[in-house]
Amino acid sequence: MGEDKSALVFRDGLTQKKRGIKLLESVCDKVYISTREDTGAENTIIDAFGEIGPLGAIASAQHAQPDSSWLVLACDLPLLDESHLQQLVNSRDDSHEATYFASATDGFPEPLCTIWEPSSGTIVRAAVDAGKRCPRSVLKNLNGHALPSPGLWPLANINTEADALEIRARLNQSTTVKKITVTYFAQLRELTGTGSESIETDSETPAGVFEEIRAKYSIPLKRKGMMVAVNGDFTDWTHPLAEGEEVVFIPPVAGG
Amino acid sequence: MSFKLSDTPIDPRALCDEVRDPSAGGFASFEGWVRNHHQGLDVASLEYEAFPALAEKEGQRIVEEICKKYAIVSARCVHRTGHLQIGEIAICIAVSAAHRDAAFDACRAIIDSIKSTVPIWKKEHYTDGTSVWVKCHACAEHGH
Repeated sequence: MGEDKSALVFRDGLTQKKRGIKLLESVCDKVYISTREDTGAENTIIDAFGEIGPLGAIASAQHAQPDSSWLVLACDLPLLDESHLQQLVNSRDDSHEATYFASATDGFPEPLCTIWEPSSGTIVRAAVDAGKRCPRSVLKNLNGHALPSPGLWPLANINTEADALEIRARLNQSTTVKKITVTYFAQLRELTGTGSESIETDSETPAGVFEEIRAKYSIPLKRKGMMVAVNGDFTDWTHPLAEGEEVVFIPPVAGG
Repeated sequence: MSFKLSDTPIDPRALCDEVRDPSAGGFASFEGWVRNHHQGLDVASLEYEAFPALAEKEGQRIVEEICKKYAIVSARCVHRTGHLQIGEIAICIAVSAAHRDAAFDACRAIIDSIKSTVPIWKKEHYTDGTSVWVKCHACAEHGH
């Protein structure tokens, strides 16, 4: 998005950072904010292993308090509610190294709404030291306790303008159901097992439809690097979908 | 100026004749052939699939835009679809211009541009019986 997602306001008049703190306070003894550098603010966990992203932040928290269990929450999940965190905490099983929700898309762990137990510390730190950067890959290899996915949207994060449009439409309850046609070519035709299908969707943009399709068929492709066409012409992922439109998702092309 | 898809073998000589013109003193062409290896793997054949309507529209746009930029007399581009064997022509571009520089430059610009945006995909079939949609593995690598 090119901006600090924790400063965005989606609901309750609170920034995502303030809302996240409020949600976590309902289920945790104490709440800390992960930061890259020392801002002088209280209750922060400063990255101790360089700017290597969320896995470094998790390792930093575990390094600061090795005996604590950490509920790690991303700051860009506006549709997540207290009920989801309650479910995570109530279902927690500390005989496992982590408790998490499975992704609606592929069933793999959602690492940034996860309870990381102290017993995961050694493996997390070893991964960081080995140059790994992906918390999801680390979580996949832990002895984790997986909860069923809460659905596509509660754990939807904001990476693009289209994500923000979909999330705001759901928060405003302004989504409308429409019937559209989705046509598939090449690998998408093979992965979906169909050339074309008519679907009813409450997504506002092709981006939302693609997330639904990914979840429905476990498609291992992301929107990044892909293009989309509506009614036979290239368009943006933010295109406002209307009844009867024809959508084609275009994975990286390989002509010539 | 035209871009077309073809599900039958391409005749490069015919394309050359189509761009022939009394005002053209230079002709350049490019043919892309099906090769028997890719990134260390033994390729047995290639399968091309297009989103036909948009591929032809986008291909046409590219050919017209580049012809305008390089003062081209005439240009044709044909891209195959379907299952191709080693040595077959996957794409053929024929360009005529008053002088050689424009013909060479336009030919190169057309192939580069077509590879980047025209919705055509290729599946490589390897000699060991496996197959993969090219680039699909690269984008699936971080598919989470």
